[in-house]
Amino acid sequence: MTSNHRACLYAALGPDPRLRATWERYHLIGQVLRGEQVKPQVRAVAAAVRAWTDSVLSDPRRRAAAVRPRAWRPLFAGAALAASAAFLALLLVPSRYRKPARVAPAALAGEMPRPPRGPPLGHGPQ
Amino acid sequence: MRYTHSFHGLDQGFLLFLGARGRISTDQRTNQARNCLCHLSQGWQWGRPERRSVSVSDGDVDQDLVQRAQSGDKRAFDLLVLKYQQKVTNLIGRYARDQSEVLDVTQDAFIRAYRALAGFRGESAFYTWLYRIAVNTVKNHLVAQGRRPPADDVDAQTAEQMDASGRLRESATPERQLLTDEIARTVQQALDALPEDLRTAIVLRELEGMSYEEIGAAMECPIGTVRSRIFRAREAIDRRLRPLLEP
Repeated sequence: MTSNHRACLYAALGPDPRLRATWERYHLIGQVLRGEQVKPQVRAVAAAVRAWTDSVLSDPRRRAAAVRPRAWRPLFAGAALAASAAFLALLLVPSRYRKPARVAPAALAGEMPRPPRGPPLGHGPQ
Repeated sequence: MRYTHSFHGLDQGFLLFLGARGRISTDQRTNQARNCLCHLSQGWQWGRPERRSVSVSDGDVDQDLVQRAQSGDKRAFDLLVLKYQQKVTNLIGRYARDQSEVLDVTQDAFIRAYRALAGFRGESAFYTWLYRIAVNTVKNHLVAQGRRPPADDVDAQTAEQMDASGRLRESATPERQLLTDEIARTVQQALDALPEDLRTAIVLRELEGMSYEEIGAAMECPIGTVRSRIFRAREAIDRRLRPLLEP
């Protein structure tokens, strides 16, 4: 049975409640034959989950929220927020509160503008 | 196109089902699809996967359904729930106390699985993945209730093997217990009433986990005959079981 055949079968299976019931009973027969415990009331689980998916997936916004891996979303969102805050802090905080850089006095002196040199006193042209 | 092939062969039956859509009655289509389902629903058993060598394995079917569910086919996920709800309930029943609690947690586990399905990459079998979600769900539930979850877990395969003797730690109502027992009794009676060749074929398949090829070799018959026998055996059992489960 090729994958295309199976795909067509699944497509036919999904919307047909009678075929879905048959699918369930065939699995159930196998479980009973293998001696596994089978409880008829458990069949309510599938109905409840189906009702949930129907209600959630009919709303696109709830659908997007439902199929997203929620467990990781707050973690990633928090990490991204923290990283953004840290980046902004690096950018902004030093510029506002930066202390004046200490410069060696010698260097400072070396960089001070020298007064313009005039002619030596007493040595002017006579 | 003429449809003169046997309906019992897997591919033949399926092709007939597809080719005849819209040309035959719904009941006939349903019967053909049931034939295909008969084969799709016979995956490998837990504990002896190495003995299965059929072309469509249980893992293939699960993978197909997971991929369809991931692409937005909610009915595909529904089929997975229908397939595994009994197993997951039995598993959760080893941790939780009463029936209603077990069913609630089972439902929650499947919803969590659906939400996490986008992250399932098929690196493990679907049931192994689902099993872990179910165990985590019931443990979280117990912690939220202020109860201490058991320290030791059973692995998926052990849990599967324990299903035969395990019982939920709850007091089922007499009616429910009666129905549970009646289902088991009905399947056993239907099995006993089968002609020997059909009974042997389905027992080798379901209990021994043999492939079609192995059953054919054991029963000295072609694979098509094996398929036919297993299909007829399932149909005979299902005919007796259906009235119990349908309202």
